[in-house]
Amino acid sequence: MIRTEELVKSFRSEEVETIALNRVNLAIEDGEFVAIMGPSGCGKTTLLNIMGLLDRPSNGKYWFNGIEVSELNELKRTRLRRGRIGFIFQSFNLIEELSVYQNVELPLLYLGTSSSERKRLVNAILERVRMSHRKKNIPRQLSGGQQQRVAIARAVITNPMLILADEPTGNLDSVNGEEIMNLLTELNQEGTTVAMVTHSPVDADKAHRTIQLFDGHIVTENIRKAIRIS
Amino acid sequence: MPCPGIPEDERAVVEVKMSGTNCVCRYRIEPLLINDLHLKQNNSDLRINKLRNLIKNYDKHWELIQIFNTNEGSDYVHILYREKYTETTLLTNK
Repeated sequence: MIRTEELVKSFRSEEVETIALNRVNLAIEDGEFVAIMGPSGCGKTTLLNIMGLLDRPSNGKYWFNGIEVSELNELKRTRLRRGRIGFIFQSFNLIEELSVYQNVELPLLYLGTSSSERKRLVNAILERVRMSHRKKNIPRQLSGGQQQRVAIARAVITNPMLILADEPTGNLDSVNGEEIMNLLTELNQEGTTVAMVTHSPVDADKAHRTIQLFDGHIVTENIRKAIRIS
Repeated sequence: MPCPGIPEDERAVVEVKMSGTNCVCRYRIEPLLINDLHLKQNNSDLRINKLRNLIKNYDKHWELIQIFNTNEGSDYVHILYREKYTETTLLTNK
């Protein structure tokens, strides 16, 4: 699903050039659950943004679903992203003025889904994330865990092939964090590819594989087997 | 987990027992000197290669869990390892 070759991302101010990603070679297969870890500022979110077609690399190549996308313009990247990639953020990024129902419905409006189909899909996904009873509320009336469940519903409403999660449990307590991780694991087990940036080794344990970044480089990749507690 | 400031040739072993379960996890925090004079005078590839080599050649019975943030001014990066799960990590005293 994802392949990068010698990917570089640099940011230039007046006199200083900062290299956020340095010759990153990475492959993520369909159906994988990959955790991306590393110290703050090592390039994790930059990598996720490029993988999600929100940003372009400065150099190198990136294939998403078999298409080389590093040179695509904003319009083409948006078209390719729409409906195929779902995003989950640490700070939820729900639209404050819209209700839970309207937030979740939004990606379907962009896709031109019919009204009756939107209603069916939104009600089904809100049921799944146990937020049906709060569908008329606005985000600030919800707890952090509830907001993240709504954000997940919004991310998966279009049945994307890829979910990109940037520290999805970073603003949650352990109970709500575990619930969010269980949801992500379920979605992955149903076939959705998941790439997740995290600082939490506990969350990373849920992934099939962990990539460690340092100073913009991949320093190691390891397949991790979760410790089973009897 | 607070990371003690220990020299490169020493090692912290932290044993964690989880109440109500019969599993023990063992952790190590390895400090790696990454900002010595030689490395400072060269590009970051040397630091990365040193880090990669340390990870690659590390005890195969242990897995890398986390690379910690480097404190400002510190010459070390600290790396958390966990002993891989084996039958011997189970406790028999329930």
